Amino acid sequence: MAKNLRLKAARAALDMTQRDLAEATGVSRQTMNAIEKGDYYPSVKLCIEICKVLGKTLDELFWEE
Amino acid sequence: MLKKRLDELQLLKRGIVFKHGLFTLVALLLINALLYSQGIEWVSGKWGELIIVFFVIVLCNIEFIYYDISPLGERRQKYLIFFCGLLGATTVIACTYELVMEDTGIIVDGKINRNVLGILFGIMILAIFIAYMLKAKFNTKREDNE
Repeated sequence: MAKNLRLKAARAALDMTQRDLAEATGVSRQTMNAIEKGDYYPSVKLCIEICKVLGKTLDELFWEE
Repeated sequence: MLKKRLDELQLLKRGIVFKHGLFTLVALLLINALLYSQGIEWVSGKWGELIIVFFVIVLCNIEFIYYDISPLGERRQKYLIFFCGLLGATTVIACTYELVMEDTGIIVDGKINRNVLGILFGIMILAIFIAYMLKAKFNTKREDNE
């Protein structure tokens, strides 16, 4: 699975750590790490949560061409 | 351990751990029953089944720690794990001491001595503590790197 670099970039742009983003979305840091590494595809519900926190759309963070 | 709300990935992994536990339990109990039917009784009474059940519980706990399903940072969890470490170490030392003092040997009448079983129990409890310590150290190191 490919790494989600867009998610990592969006998080870094807001100066957030994985732990910060994980706490804001209500998941564990390990889960957030797995999503960024591409080891786990999150549910749509969690994707929406992440997008809300980072101020991005689903397409911007999760759409793969 | 599982009172804390788990996220979706943790729930998924918890299911995998329970599946491993169930399969291991069934396999070991079947092997034990097969041995028993062949007249091979490796421990006296129901200790064989008990040690298998305990082994599966320990296996599941270690997997919970490995997959970060256990809240490793929680104080209550820490105390419980440290208690496990203390209990395991005490059991191993006490049973080893008794085994050496009694000087009966590891196997008595074709069955494993109860003190050796005690040592096995102690080692299994200690394994949870060791897994916790290693995982906590690994997580701290990884967080520092990030």
